[in-house]
Amino acid sequence: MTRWTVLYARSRRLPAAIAFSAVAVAVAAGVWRLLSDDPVTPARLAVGVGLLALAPLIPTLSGDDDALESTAALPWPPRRAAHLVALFGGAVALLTVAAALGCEFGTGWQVVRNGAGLTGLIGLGAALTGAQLAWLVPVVWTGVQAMGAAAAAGGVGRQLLFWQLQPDGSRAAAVLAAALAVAGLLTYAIRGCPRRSPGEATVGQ
Amino acid sequence: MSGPTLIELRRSNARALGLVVAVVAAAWFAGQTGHWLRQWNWFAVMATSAMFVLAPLALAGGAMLGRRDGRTRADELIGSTGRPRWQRVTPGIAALTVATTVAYLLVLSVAAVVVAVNGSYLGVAGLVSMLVDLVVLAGAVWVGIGVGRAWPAPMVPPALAVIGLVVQLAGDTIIGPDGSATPLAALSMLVQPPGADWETASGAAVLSRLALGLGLLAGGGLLTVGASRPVRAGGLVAVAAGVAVTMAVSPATASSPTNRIDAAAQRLVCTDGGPQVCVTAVHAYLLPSVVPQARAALTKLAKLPDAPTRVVEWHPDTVGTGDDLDYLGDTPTTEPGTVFFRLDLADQDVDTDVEASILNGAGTTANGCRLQHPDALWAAGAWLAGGDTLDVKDFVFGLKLFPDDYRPVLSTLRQAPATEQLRRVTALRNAANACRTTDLTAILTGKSAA
Repeated sequence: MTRWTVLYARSRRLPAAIAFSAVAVAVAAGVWRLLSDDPVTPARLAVGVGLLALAPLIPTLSGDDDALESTAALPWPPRRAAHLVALFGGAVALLTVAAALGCEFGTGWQVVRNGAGLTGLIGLGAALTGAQLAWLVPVVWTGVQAMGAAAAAGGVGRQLLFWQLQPDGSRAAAVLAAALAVAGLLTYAIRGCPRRSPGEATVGQ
Repeated sequence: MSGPTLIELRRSNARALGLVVAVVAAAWFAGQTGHWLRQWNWFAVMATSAMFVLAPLALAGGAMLGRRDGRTRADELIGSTGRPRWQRVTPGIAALTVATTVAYLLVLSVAAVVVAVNGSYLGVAGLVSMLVDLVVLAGAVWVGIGVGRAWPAPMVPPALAVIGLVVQLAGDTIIGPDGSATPLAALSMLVQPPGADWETASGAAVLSRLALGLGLLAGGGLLTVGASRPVRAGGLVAVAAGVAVTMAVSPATASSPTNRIDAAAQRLVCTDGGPQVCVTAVHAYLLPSVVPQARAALTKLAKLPDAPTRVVEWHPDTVGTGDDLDYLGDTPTTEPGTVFFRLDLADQDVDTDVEASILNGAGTTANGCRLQHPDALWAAGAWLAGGDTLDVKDFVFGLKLFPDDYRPVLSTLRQAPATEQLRRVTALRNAANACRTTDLTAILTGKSAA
């Protein structure tokens, strides 16, 4: 299992992605601490950095040739589920370390809630559009939330649209994040990424 | 468009990126409050703010194309052909740039038609601002291609998109110890709405975005086309130079005005025939609703000696500071024979109390003076209206000039002989129009000799 895990991690370029993610969060935290005395970052910046921790890891949800990979007689659904959960755990761990070092990108619950929801959204995207485009909806949705943050407070509709910016007590945001997490986890675990033709995989688009 | 470019349009991610840009831009405009539907300058600001998300998407889309040759290890093969590198990469760059900018232009064009149909002003200033946004968008595409080519890893597109977002968010949210913005603020495409419909982005604001766009274009071009390390390093220098100029020029960091007055937007549009009523070009579409109210007010103001014969929408020659009271002072800005009024379109499409707001203070509430004694102003308006009330709802320059109980003043005024009532209201108007605003109630109740 250990050897398989190492090979799997290498085949999915996980070491480089994890390193990039860690460096990106460290730079963001460093810039914040350099320019501000407050350990708590604004909510808008926090959601951006939360996505920054996950973004480099998104392409690891797919290999160079998923069709070839699937020929291995292994139970893939639990492995895919574990991969997605590991992404969530890695991002949360990075932000937790940053908080421990004096730069809080949201409360503990917000980090977990937003991380789970975003990971689920990424899993959904990977299963439906492929890992190469799974970043699209999370980036747009997070960007829209950051743009319209002033309108984040309000009824259930606004809480759902701006779910990453909601305070800890928002039930709507928590439910949406949980729903995204479960849907993404199940969809990606069961379905995996859509198979690309060998030619398309070679082109890498 | 050349054959290779058309081929790249079909086989690359150009059309997909164009579609994404168009959908996101359209959704952004559709999700905004309705004011931009009629106001060109508001629309231009919204278009700039859309770059907050569109530019990161363009970065990522460019990176997806840029990493193609490196990822497929086709660089060496293609490099063995006899053509220079720029000839080989130009079709791909052109396809992605054309698809992205044309898609965005299509959305802008549709929105411009909406503004033209619903509003009354399309100006050059807003158009220039939007065209500069296009340079930034194209620059983001080019830098994305360049970075994707330099580092063809799968994580580059998403990472680049999110870095684009986070850099802007950092600029928006990080504030220096003295409360001032950091240089990063210059890189954020999120723009505050203008203080008034006739305000547009200042020259510095447009210039800073242009510098950023040109820096990205030059840097992205060199990174993509450069066949040697020095040239590619020059690309990084070009991006850095663009960013540096942006930071130096941007109003966010240079403490210069973000907006300026768009003189063309303030051009007066007046009625023909009958007492003249003028509104600014940005509000000309409201003339049909304003004219009857304004003329009714003129008729009632005619009770007073030296009554005005012309109504003009108030418009300042300075940009708003966020506090409407800053428009007011101790020097009147009146014109003989003209009464000014202020259109209030906050939370409403049509100003329904133009007549009452003109009569309020006997036509003095938009004369540039910091008025006091709202009960006297209100009572004078009610007296002119001939009833027991004056149906003013809007705040005027942030002032509540509609007190809850003005009746005592009106009652006292009406107890005087008719000629005395007329004299007092005229005296109030003359005092208010001279910015002598400290004893308006006394004038109206006869306790002042004025």
